[in-house]
Amino acid sequence: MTQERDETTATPIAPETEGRTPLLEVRGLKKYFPVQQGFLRRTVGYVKAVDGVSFTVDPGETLGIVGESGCGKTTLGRCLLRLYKPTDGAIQLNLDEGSLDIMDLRGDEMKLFRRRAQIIFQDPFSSLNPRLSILDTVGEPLLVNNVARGRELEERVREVIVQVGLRVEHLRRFPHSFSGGQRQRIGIARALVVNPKIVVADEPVSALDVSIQAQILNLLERLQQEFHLTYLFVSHDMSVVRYICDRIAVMYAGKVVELGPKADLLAEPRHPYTELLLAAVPRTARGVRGQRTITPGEPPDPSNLPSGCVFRNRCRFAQDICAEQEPALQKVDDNHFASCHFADSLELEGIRADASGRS
Amino acid sequence: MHDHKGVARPLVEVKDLQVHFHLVEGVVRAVDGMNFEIHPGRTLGVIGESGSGKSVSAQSILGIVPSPPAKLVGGEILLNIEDQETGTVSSVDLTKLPKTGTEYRGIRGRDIGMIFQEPMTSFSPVHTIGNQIMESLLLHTDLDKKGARERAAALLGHVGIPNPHRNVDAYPHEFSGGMRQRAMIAMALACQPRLLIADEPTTALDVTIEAQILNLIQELQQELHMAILYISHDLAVVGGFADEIMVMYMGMVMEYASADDIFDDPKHPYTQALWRSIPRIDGPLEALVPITGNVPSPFAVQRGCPFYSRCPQRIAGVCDESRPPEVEVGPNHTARCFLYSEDHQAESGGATTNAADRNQSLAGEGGPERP
Amino acid sequence: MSLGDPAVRQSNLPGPDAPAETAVTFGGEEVDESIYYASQWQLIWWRFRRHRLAIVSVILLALIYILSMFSGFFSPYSPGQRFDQYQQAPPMRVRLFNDGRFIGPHYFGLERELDTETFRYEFVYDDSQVYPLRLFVRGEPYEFLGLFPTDIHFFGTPGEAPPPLLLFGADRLGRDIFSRTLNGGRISLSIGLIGVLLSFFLGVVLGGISGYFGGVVDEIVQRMVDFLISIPQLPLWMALSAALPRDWPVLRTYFAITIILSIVGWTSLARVVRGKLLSLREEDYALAAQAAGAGKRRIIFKHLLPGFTSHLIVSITLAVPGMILAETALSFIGLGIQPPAVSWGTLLQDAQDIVAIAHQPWQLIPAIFVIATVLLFNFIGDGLRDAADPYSEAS
Repeated sequence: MTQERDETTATPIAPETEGRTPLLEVRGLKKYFPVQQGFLRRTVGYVKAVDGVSFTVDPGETLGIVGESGCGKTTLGRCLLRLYKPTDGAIQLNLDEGSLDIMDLRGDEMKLFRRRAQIIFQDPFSSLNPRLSILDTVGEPLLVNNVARGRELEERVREVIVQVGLRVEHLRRFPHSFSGGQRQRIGIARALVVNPKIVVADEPVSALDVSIQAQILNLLERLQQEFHLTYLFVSHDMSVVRYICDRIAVMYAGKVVELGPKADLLAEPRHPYTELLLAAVPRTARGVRGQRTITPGEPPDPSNLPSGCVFRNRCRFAQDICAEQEPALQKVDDNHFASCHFADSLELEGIRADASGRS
Repeated sequence: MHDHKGVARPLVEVKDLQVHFHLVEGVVRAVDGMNFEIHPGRTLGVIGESGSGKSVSAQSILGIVPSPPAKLVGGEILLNIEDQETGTVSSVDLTKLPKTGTEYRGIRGRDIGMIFQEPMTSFSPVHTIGNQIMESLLLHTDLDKKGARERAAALLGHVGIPNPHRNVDAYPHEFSGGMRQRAMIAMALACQPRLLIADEPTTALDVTIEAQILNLIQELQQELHMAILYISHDLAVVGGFADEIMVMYMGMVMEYASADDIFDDPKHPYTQALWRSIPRIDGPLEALVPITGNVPSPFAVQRGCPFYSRCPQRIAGVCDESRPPEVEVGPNHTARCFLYSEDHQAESGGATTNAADRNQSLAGEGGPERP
Repeated sequence: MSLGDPAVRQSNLPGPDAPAETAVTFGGEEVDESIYYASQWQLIWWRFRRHRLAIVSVILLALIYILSMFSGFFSPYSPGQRFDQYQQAPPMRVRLFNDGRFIGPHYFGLERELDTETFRYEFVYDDSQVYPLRLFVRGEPYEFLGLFPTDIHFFGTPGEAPPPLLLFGADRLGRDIFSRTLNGGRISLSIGLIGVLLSFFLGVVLGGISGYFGGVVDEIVQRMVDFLISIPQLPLWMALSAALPRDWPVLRTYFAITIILSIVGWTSLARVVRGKLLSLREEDYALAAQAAGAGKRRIIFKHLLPGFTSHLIVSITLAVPGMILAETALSFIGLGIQPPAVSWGTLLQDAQDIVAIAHQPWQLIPAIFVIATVLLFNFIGDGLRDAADPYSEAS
């Protein structure tokens, strides 16, 4: 199966999984939003939010999707869950119950898919319906997918409520009586109540206070171990991704520009954009505190991308070829891929972690 | 109280500031006994979570706290402005000025500039960027319309906006988020203020743009010798940017020290706990130690320390009984904590700090521990 | 004792290693727990309850509606009953004391005299006979709510052919304006409600279609709304109601007028519905429901619609007075309800004449009812709007 993939796509983006089937396979995924104008809504162009993304996710791992706002990371997550209908590409979810073709789900397949793939949202306030009690909110996936109802449903909700660190006495309360961190726990409970295999966590801690972020991150990690979950962790925050992810995919202007194991990618980035992204985060360690590199420029308009490499107008290594040819995502190391014409020759700076720990 | 060698008088002195919000649900002590000063050319960072009172303190200086419900209960905010020619210092207590009077209006925009988090809502969508910058120039300087327009274009160029002479006629929505924040800075600096108040100016921006904007602010600070009050929830950002840092929690200044001390030798249990709980780009990759529990309700009447219920080093019967004192724990370093007060040091055998409580069973995400 | 000693850290409050939520979320302070379990409707009601003006308005408006609905019972006379010798009589006083002695509510009859200088009739009290007022008196027969015939009135004068008690005076045909005002409210007040319900139906359906499907459908509906809004309302009403056959029975005219008003009135509601649907469709919780596997119908009815029913109720409350005014205006210019049917508009038609207003200002009393009703609806609408905002501070 792995070999077959190697032949069909120019870039095998899977970690070397000898004989193992990945949980999720994404190939050439595209999502274009039409730009419409005028009375008859004529399409005058496209916003290429996700433009040809391929990767695989292994069961039990956490894949981080990082990038700046507008890079398509959220759209990608929503396409994978079929909240948006992708324009093109192939997505396959390999479950114990069999493989699902996400691009073409019918009837019972959709019901199964909704039970096995779930989402955690960024904003704990807008993602909970203020008119539904916790029981109704968390129980909804069970109800609409005909998993459980009545007493059985309540039992299951109680169970998961305790697992995410809330109290069962709160079951009939409404969202307005909870703090941001508690609401995020409710959102997590809603995602986990149907025993999903894969969870797309879309910036799950960005809207939370700093003192609450670690609570939620640790909760996510514990739940992952307990229920053997696979996470797709979408975030703009390199510091957070660094803690929770096993592999990281860096997105820029709708494309994955680098994909690799966390340690490799952070210590030795192979794409200039990854370097830029890492260098912009202020350092905290003694002696280098506050250091960050300032790079001019802004991400391109996704409805009007530059020719060739999408990053070339901000890239300090850009050559003529970068404007002429679009670089493919190519293997640069074990499990490490980058889409840069000079990925093999550039000397890029990564992060030197404070190995000794804090004093 | 915070001694700065060789510096005559601070630009801003805030003494025992207390701002309360009177809401139907009760009284919120948004700012509770705040002391600080900012010297020209220096940057004071204010760190705190939502509801810590960090924004209210900045709004108090600007005199734009919504009142009602807010009420200034006590304290003073002195603005000491040196006349360049005579060298004499005139001192105004901002709390005594009528908030909507001409005198305050003259100070806002001329002596104090401000940048906010969301530049889109700070600009009026129906006027051009240039017009909005010119408005401040026409109000506070004796430039005529033509001169003000020239000046506005120059300012836009100065903050790194391309084609300033064309973009002076652009509307806010035509700019990207980073460009709008630059324009906002141009507007705030139009009259070369002595104090710049920046309230989470980069929170809505991407990290690469944030780096650009902060760098710009620092360059302009050196050029204009401004004092900056920088408010943020992001410790790493403030750490690299500020000279002194004030850590706030529920209206109280928990710790006040130089940025180096706050980072390398935090004294207050809250600061220490924050450090253990935040993910850092270059921190050790061990599990984060979260601060347990939630921020208490702002309406809850706190007799003792507001951090009591979440504090790993709390002393029952002491910390929950009375307000913690502001203790001088080092040169230019204060912490509002009983651990360092004379009376309790004797009893507890000195203030042991982070090494000991590291081992505490705080691991986990704060939810119930499972076997 | 060192600080590292767990015993020091022990306290009566839940420790740091207790579950997050047991750590006194609210600083140990007693908080009324019921608010945590309150649904959105309860919260709205709690907030509304604090709005004193709105609550008083609700009570007064309910009173006006009850008086009108049971106008046959509450009014002493039937709206068409004429009293000879009482044409254009002024409002009459109800007295409690006769010769300084309390004898209960009573009144005197009126004597009409011709002023020989001005040639106008003057009315003077004839205090020779006392007419006592009693509750639940038999009088003119009427149909109670159109269900069964009866002749019991709330108050009246017992005895054979007593002189009438004209609380608001009489019109130029000698009819009791008080009875007619209560009776006229039946049409005016109900046309407001029914008309709004009809335009609400049109507005929700068309606005819903527009907001949900978007695209070309949305464009067409919106342009239709634009077109209807751009037509000046009064001429449109006039044209439509002038087209109604004059010989239609009262009931049919009544419904025709209601429909005409709704056809013009649905546009603003459609805009509200569409705008709300568009904004709520983007809410994360709608997306979350989709991710949970909920179908389109469930998302609309369980998640989106409840999200703005409170806003709709506010819009409706604020739309009712418009309808009432529209009916009044149409009837006033003679194109709405036709006499002998009575509505507040037809009553005011009698007061069109400046001479009549100068000499018989009591003809304008029905206008006070119109104004009061409109104001009360607006006060209630304001109260509801404040209460319905889900993100205003919970009490």
